Amino acid sequence: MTRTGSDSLQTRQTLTVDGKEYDYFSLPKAAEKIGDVSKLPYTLKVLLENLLRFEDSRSVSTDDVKAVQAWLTNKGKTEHEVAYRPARVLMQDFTGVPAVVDLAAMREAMVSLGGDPQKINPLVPVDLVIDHSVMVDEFGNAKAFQQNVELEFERNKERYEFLKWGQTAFKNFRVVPPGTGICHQVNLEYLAQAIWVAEDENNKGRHVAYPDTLVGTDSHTTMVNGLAVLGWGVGGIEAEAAMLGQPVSMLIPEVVGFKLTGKMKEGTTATDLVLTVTNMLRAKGVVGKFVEFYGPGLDNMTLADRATIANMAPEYGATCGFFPIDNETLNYLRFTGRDEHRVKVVEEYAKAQGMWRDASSPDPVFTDTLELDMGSVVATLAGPKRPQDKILLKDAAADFKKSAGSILGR
Amino acid sequence: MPRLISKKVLAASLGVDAKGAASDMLEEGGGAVPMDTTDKGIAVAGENYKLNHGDVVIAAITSCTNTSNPSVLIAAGLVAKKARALGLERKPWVKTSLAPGSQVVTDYLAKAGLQDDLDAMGFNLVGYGCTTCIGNSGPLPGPIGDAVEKGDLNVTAVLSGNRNFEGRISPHVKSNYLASPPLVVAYAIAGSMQIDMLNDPIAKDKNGKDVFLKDIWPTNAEIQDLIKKSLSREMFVERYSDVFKGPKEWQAIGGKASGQTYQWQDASTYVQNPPFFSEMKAQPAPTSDITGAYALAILGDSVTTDHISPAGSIKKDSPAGAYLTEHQVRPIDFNSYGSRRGNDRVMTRGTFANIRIKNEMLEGVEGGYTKHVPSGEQMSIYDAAVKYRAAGTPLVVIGGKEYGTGSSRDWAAKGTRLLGVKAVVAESFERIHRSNLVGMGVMPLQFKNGESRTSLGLKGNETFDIHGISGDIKPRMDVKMTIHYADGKSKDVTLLCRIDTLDEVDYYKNGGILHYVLRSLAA
Repeated sequence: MTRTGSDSLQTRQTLTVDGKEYDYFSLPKAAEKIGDVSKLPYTLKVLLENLLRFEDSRSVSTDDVKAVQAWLTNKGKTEHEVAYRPARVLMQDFTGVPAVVDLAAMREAMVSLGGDPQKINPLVPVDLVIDHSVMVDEFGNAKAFQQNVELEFERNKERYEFLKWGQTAFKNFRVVPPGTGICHQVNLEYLAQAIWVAEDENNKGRHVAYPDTLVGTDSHTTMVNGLAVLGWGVGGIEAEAAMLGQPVSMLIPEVVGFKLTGKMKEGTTATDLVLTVTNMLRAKGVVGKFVEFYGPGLDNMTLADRATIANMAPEYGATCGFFPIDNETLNYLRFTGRDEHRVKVVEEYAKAQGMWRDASSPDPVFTDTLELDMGSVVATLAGPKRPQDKILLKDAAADFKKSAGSILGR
Repeated sequence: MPRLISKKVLAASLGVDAKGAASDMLEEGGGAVPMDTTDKGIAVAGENYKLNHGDVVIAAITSCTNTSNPSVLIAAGLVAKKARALGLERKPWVKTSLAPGSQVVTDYLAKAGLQDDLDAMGFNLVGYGCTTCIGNSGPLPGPIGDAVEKGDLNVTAVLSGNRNFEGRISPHVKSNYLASPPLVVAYAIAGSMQIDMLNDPIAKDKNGKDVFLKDIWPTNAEIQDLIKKSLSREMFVERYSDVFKGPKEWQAIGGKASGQTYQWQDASTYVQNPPFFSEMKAQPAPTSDITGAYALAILGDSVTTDHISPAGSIKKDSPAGAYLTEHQVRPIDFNSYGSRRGNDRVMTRGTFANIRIKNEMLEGVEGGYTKHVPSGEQMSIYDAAVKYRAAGTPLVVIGGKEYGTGSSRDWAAKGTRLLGVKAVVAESFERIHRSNLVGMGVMPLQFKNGESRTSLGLKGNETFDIHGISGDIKPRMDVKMTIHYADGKSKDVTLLCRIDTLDEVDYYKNGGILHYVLRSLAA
């Protein structure tokens, strides 16, 4: 179930995929009223759709919608705050526990008010993946895994018991148990859908299709930007607000375009590339801004490599590091076992909304751009104490010798 | 300043009269000087090797960044395979680990026949989770840790992670390098950051012949070929078909894990029922003016959320430490504020408890202290808040510019509320913390007309009345504050109410976002 707004601009349209109908809030339709939006960065198209869908003349107004269109002229240099409602929330165990504690306390309070505690549930889908508690006590032998798991359960009994209660008590709340994986991988490989569909609460029986978006309580939530899912890490209160269907307030950001050209050289890896990108973007200064990747390099880049680059957005300082929907996105969705009908919805929806990228797509307008020939990337490390301090492998031994003394404060 | 090194100092770093140069510099107070990185070794108890600066003591394939990327994981496996074929092993002082981000990784490494090779290099599976990258690297073997301490060695970690801030990875490791999974395996075999991986041999094979990195590095074609042969759609479908089931230890958790409300455990020091709703009524009480408030703290510019709600270790003599001690928790088990965010009793005591926070109400005192104005006594901010609450006295916090800057932290706003603070008056607010304060029912107010705590001469012995918030509240309206100075004089100032939107007005009137949602659902 999802809410929809009052649609003052009358952009609601229908998309039919395999004979199944989905309503959506059309950007081309909006453009007829507010002016061309086809050249907006993909990330801002996602934001614009969100505002169209929730426009209610109160928390989201048609002025907010127009402000996104006006970005094409002011490029995000004009401060305009909007209320953004992500489709779902991703949590990990460290930061997720207090949010679930608050929900549990709300149930208790509901009983005190004489109400039904079962009414207290997250209003958007919430997934909590337990990944932060396992420690490497045992290593280098065949029993290491089992022994570490046992120690983990011993140490975290109180919290796990509590989370397991939450999993059974709350609707819209799922817990991925310890020992399964890291939240961002589970998100990438399983939870994320690129385009989300849900029944319209205000128009029962109708299903709405919209971009999969989220906030997460872990900073590397941006990893799923590699799958064209807009999302980033937030603090607990914003996550709780999103969980309870309340908007997250944000400024319409500047968007920096990062053009990728060429192809990685023999012997180099995605890690070398992301450490290079991180170093470049830190030097550029992208704090508080969106970053969007574009250019012919995307045609040669696997989704796994895109996710690796998107992952380190907090290290390069950006709010997100986004890759738009293209053929590779669809291939990855299929290969990881997503439903074939959904993959078709993703393709049809993206094409209808101008959110589809291929080799012939014109470049979006950006606030600023930079460029990297991936063929220039060589084996790279980063350290000794900041992820943006790139060191070429060929210089690593010398660099260690240089930095070693100062790190000990000698 | 490692990058602004003189030639003389550089020579020292390479071992030329290093000790002499270093001590000269120290006597001159010359600041950072590279150590003698060639200075050989501290014996490791029970082992036949010595430990030196630069030795890799942690080599970890870890973190969300890389461990779901087949190309780098297969590459790591291929490095292990080639190394094993040459008879190479990891160096014995390296703590090696493989913590994939997803179980599918285990399937394709096994299918490719590479997990055996990784095991042979010490990269056995240790868990599926964040592990080393978030500092869960576990202790180093005792004798290794002892040698590091004894020699004050600058040993290293090489990890395929995304963060390497000082002190994050392991307390024993000062230099931490992020690198690709195949390089992590190569460094485990080489064993030292002092080896030039491109030009030096990294090890000797079983016949005593030098092996170079290029001898064990896979080609892109080899990697792509194995990915094609080893990964399949079925692996994803199979692994995720039952993703919520979990291991037997998870399935065994039962008992309290049922019921519509949670059975809070009095004895738990990790999870407690927070008192946000303790006196909540079905209808919100009308908002009222704040009268006779004292300042709990007067703070300067750029107070961060980490000042307001620290995430790190809990001091034994702090209010939170005292609480844990009362509950039979030994200091060694205190854990961090971060891990105890499910317990408001720890977190409220930790609010404004950062050891570096500076309350201008006290001269020359750092840390979470204040003056309890009625008694004139200096005490912890938490203890003062408890006294004020007992007396029914409302509180305000006065701040400077960019109040609440830094990363968003829920407890910075929750703790402020639970201490009994009704309003924060500052020159400017960081955007997210401002909205968090409103979300927790605390009113953010902004000085206008260039006024500030200094221009108004606030010392902390004043009382404050805030008028005009008992009736209709409008976003960004003006609010009047009367300051009653200790000398009997008073002054009215106009403040900007930083409740910015209509939604926020609803949150505030209800006592916070949680209360607002609760009442809408109860209706």
